Amino acid sequence: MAPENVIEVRGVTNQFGSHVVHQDLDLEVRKGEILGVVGGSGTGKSVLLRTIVGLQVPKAGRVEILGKTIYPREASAKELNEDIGILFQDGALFSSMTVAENVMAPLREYHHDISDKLAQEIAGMKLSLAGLDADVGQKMPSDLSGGMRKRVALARAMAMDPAILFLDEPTAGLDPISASKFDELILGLKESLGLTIFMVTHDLDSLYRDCDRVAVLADKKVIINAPLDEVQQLNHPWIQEYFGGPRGRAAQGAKLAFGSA
Amino acid sequence: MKHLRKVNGTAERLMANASFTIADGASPLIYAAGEWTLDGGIIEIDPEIRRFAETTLDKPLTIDMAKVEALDTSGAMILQRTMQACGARTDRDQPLKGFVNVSEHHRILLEQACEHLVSCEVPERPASFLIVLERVGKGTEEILDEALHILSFVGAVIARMADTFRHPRRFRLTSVVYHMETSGLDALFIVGLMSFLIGAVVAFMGATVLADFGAEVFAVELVGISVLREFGVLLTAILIAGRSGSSFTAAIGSMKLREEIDAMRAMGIDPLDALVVPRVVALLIAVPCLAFVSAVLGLIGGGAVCALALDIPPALFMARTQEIIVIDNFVVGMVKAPFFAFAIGVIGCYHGMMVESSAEDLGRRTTIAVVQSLFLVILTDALFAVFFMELDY
Repeated sequence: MAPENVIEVRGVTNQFGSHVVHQDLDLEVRKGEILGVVGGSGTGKSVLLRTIVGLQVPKAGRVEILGKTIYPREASAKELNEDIGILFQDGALFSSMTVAENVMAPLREYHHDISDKLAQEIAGMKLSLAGLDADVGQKMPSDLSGGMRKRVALARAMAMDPAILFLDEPTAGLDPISASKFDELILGLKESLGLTIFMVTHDLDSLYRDCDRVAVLADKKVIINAPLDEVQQLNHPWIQEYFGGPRGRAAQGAKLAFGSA
Repeated sequence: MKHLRKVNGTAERLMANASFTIADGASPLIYAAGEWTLDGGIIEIDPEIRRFAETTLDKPLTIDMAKVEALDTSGAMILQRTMQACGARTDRDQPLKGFVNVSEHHRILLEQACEHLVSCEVPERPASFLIVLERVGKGTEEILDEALHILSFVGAVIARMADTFRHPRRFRLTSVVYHMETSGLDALFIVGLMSFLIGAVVAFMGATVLADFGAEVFAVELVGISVLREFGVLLTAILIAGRSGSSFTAAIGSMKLREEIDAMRAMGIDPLDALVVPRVVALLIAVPCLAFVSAVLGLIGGGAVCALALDIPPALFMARTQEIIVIDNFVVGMVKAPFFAFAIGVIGCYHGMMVESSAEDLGRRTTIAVVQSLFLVILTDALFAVFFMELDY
């Protein structure tokens, strides 16, 4: 059976003024996989993510999520947003709400009739799933550390049990221990909840550890979208430099050690 | 004999709604069926199953999952919660105790739900008279605290400004000129227009009332004194407080939020020198200029109404205006301008520097800055009025 695509991007072109970011870009994400998206600075990784979730309107092309056409616009935003959760780079928590209220916000938005008690129970569970204690719920986002903010944002992204999670540099700015825990968390969630995860990342360790496939953005396109081994074989100067550099080799070594342990 | 009760969710769905059937026996048995998801109606059946759990405490419960078509984390959470409440008190090693006919996919969800069954309850705040007292007390303390803070900030700003006289090279001329442009020149049109209209209104209203006494011609004095002494400078200050005071708070506040202020301090740049002093100095120069323009346009507005509607020709208007000791009234008005400017600038910058942590706070501070600077402007104006009255000026 051919793997089912949950995200299909066909021939997307993004342009800011005269600066073309994507030209005729294709990408597909399969159900239940973790796709890592890498690329140099300014290759439009975040723009691609924003295009897929409908925050950025492309100049041309076609974007489908779970069979719904995002562009040219057919599905309403509300219809789509229930199926996806997004973790923004800095969390993007609502600063005027407590952590618990942040997690409950999407629940209340989509289910007006939800009781306070049930909402609190669900929020508590999501926070716990994201690896936080329930007493964090009463804090304000500004009182949290960067790592905790990301976890809360993850809990909020998962509040509606989305089919697809979009993560924009989930481990950026975290210390190696937190980053490693975050990787584990994402892997665990994928296993237990059957999520599909679209992850923009610069973290080579995350790539080696989490991702089933890796899409490389270069030359305004996705030049390859394949398992990591195949990606590393590809003869492209950027890829060779990226994976062959000292950091790439270190992460690869760590993966080997991790795998054999 | 078993009594069967069936409870249905009501969401409109293609698949069957979440529902459960309770078979009351020696040990209760629940047949869960349908789509146990947020969209499948678990919200509707939640109160019902909660009530069931409360009445069925401490009896080993069995939940039959055979007819469950779909399950999400919330549904799994409700099932686990019910199970735990009914005395199963499952230890974490046996998350599936009490569940029968569980499919593979549902098993994982139920296990997750068992492990993460925590509620983040919001503690209810007791509403009582004591709380009101507490808040009044806290508010009072905050006001006193803030008054002290503002005083010390004023002191610091004055000290930095005095310091620039000793080290003129530290003075940021470019910045001052920039703020003079945005706070002064850009406000010129609106200040002028407002004063012109107010002058016109005063002349018109005054003349209407004075006409009853046959003293229409005193409208000229009315315009001259009120515009020169009060309205010109006061209108300017109010407008600048709303326009520049708030923008100072917002600009400095968002720099604070993005750690730009910290970056400056780390580089050894005093944010007072770089951000506050130029703004305050710019206002100190710009507001008197605006007040002057405002006074002149107020007079012109009054004069225009006198000429067009009240048959007082401009020559007469000018002559009478000169009779009313123009200079004294003008000086009284202009003397106040720098004080207003200082109050507006310092309050705006102070609240910007005090912004902490959130966008919410930034908005709050911006509002406070405008309200406080307006308050201070009016207060200063009142003090000056008393002062000049005592001087018989």
